Amino acid sequence: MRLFFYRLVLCLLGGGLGPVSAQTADTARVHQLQQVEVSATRRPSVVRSAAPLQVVSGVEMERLGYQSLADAVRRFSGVTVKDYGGIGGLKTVSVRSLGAYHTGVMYDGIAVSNCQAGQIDIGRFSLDNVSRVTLAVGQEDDIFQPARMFASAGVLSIQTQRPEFRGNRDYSLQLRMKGGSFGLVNPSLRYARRLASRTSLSIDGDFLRADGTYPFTLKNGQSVTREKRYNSDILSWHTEANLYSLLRDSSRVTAKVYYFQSERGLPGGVIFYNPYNKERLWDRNFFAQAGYEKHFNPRWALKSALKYNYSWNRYMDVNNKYASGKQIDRNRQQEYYATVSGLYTPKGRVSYVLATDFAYNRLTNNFTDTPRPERYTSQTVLTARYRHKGVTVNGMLLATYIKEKVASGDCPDDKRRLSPGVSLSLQPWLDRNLYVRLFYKHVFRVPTFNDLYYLRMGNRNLKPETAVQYNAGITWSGQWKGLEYASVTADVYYNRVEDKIVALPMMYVWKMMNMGTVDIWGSDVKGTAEFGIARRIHCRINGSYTWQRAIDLTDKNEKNYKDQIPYTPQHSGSLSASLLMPWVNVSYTALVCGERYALPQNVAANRIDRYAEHTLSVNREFQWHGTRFRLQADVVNFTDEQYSVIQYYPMPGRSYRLSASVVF
Amino acid sequence: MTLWMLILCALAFTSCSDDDDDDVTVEEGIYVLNNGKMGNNNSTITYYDPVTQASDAADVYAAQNGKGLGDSGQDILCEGKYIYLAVYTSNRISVMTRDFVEVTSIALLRDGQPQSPRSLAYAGKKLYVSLYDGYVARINTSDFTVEAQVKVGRNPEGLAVSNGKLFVANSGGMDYNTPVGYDKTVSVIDLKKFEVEKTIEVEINPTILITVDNGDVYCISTGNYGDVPNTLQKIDPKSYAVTKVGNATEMATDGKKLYLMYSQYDASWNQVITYPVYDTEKAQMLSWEWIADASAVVKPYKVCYEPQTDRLYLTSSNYRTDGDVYVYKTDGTLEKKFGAGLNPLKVVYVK
Repeated sequence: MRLFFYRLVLCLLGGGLGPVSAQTADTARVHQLQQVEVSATRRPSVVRSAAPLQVVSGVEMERLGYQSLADAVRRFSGVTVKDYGGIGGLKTVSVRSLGAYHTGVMYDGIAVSNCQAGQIDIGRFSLDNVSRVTLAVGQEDDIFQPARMFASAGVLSIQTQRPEFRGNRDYSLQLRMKGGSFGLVNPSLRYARRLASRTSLSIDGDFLRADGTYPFTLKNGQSVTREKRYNSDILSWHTEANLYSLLRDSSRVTAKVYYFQSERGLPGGVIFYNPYNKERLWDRNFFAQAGYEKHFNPRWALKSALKYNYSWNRYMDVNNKYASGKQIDRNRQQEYYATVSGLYTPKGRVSYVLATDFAYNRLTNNFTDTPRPERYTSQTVLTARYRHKGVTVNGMLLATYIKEKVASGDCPDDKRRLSPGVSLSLQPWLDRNLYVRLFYKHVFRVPTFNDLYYLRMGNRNLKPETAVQYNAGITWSGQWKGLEYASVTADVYYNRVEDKIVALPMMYVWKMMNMGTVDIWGSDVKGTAEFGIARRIHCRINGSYTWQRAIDLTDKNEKNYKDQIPYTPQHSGSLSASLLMPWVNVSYTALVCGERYALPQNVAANRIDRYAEHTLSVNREFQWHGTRFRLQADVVNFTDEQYSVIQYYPMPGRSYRLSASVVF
Repeated sequence: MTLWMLILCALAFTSCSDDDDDDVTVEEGIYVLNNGKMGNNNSTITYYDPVTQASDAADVYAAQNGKGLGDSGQDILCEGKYIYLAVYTSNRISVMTRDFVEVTSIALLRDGQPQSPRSLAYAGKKLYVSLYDGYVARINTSDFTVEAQVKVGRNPEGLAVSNGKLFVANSGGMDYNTPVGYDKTVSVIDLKKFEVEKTIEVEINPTILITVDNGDVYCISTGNYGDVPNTLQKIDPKSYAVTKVGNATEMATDGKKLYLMYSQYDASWNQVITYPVYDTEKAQMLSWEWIADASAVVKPYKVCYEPQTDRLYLTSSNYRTDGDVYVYKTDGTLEKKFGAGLNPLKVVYVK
């Protein structure tokens, strides 16, 4: 992406300065072109990518009425989002049934990590300042990344909006106010300012509160009652400042400071006959990251970044069964991270990237026997890409070394692993956008701090959990019949997870063990079509369908041998359609999910019903004196479907949202 | 007109069907209380016929009542005309007829908080229940109201009646991870006055209490899963003297012998399970085990002795999939293995 921009500038400059000396008596006049800054980033191509890639832009997400990142991710194919309900409920993402631990989350190019729990709660990322969300399975084509990004089976990447200045202004301001059902109030602000000719600063802030008391239908055998979800409130705010600077030698510097804070009720699962729940959770997260990128010449480029992350959370349960009347858990994590990547393109067909990352993580908490663990992680990756005519081959080898340290008790062993991966993309006919792709990747995930040390469950002898991925797919895009644009991607995959880290009971005490083998077969099919209906009416349709068969192969003698693993539907899909008209834009999305099981055994008692959730969004944009206004109304789940993603964590029925924004 | 009226009346009478057409009686035999998984509202009652040795995986409670039992059924007791079931997370005691048809559900709240019932005991026409917030309640078995509550130690678990007293094991389990730690007492409640008469000190984390024919009360302290192992102690019902007798994790009694299960973990979390027998009259551990072939049992969970069938029921559970129950004769021979629900906990005989 950056290479493209650099080359464009060079062309424009070179075009003006080049040919003077070579010619004599040239009657054509030489014009010096003004330098043009191309500020749009190239959208990654889902069709050309050697590994399955799904992209959704911030504009599209806003138009379709998505509230949080979880809404966007749910509609990707091959993804299972575990949603515990409500606006503040925990939402984790698992790609192709591999589990949330194998999915990496990136925020503006640097990984978001949680060494304690290993899973990222994507529900807390608001979409107010997001410009693009991508989900890549296997390996993204952009190999110029930190080493850590090669370590996950799938990567969910969030890019925030770069400042945009309209006209000759050197500032821009966006204000948005959103409100909706269950007491939702969500104002947000985005201010950007050009500090110098090639330096700009942006500041974001958003605040969210909701009481979350939504009604739901509870079925207990033949007894069907209407209940209300209590203790489901959320109060959160987030602020972020970003600095972007293009230095005189064309190197780029970016810096970010981010703070997030929330308090929420944890309503827990619905328990028959007992509505009492007083668990609460407080979160605070601060991080600062700085990045530097320089392209020395067309052959060499360097990228580096530093990050410091601090997270704190406090959990409280009020109940007289505790001696003090309540239980309070406090956790504090810190991470120091640095990465350096070098890109070398000797001739143009082959490029090499060598990237190395260092991370230091530590956890402290208020438990009586806390071992105050520390972890040093070093990851180095060597990638090579060959690209010529219709063939793209990527190869990668990641070396990971992890050293653990504890203040008390046995120290877990150091871990050393090599993870290879290779992907191939073939374009059989160069004049057609038809590609065949294959990839193989071997990844692992280390036990989290909770897996190793949590109270009694922790097991310091845990080995990493490994996942092997194989994928084969066909993609096509182009024009077809009356469609302006159409694309289809179809992939078939096989994954195998071994040494899966699961909690196993050992006479009253649960213990984390490497005791699982899961076989996953699946297929993802995605299609897009864009066409015009009348002169000024444009239609865009997206559809996706996923089939997954993820079975447990741990122990032949167990009753759940070859049963579908929990919370994995065999069939699921989504459909979204947008009608863009001059007077108003209308969007519709539907999410359909088949039956799944809450517990390992596939018996009727554990089955969760299938559901379909439909959302309708209407919006209108207009200009007035150079200021842009936008109004949007959403009806979420307009069929009032009573469903749950996680058993006994009911989701809201029909709800409404209204938002108004102004851009100066 | 009159013909229509007649027809309407006839229809009206026939359409008044009885809602509770579940006056179906249940089979006589063994009923298994399955604890389920906490949070999944899947506690069930399943059936086993000791004569034909056939079992049924269907939930008897749901069949008889059209709704679920709730979350974490913890103890079941049959006395007189009724069956009492303590459902821990659902915070209620279900009172049912001998056909498992629910008569009433007793909710236990204190200061707006659920008290969470654990174990049940019956004495002198009263039902006693240990409540996890540190109380024991006495329930009237005629009108099923809570008559009185008495404060005991922290997180009381097992109950046993002996010599006109109710013994309560105070585990303190909810504070195992705080500086307060486990509790290590057994409260003795005088049944007439319904007051705590004495607090006996035992090994930490006492959970199970059993009374044998000679009146002695045996107590298992589960320890701390670390340096303090599962310990079996004898409490004298008159002098309240505590004697350490051996090690055990679970126990059942036929009145004379204690059939024990002792599960110990070595450093690499390998389980070593033994099944000793303790003779309460001779006051000694016997040399033989009550299971002839211990390797036949996978993931043992709880032990029960059922007097009507004179058999030992050893339940097995891996906490994730439906469990099994092994039926043993008291000489150690395995009679049958049958399937039950998730986490089978206890077995009762219902006529």
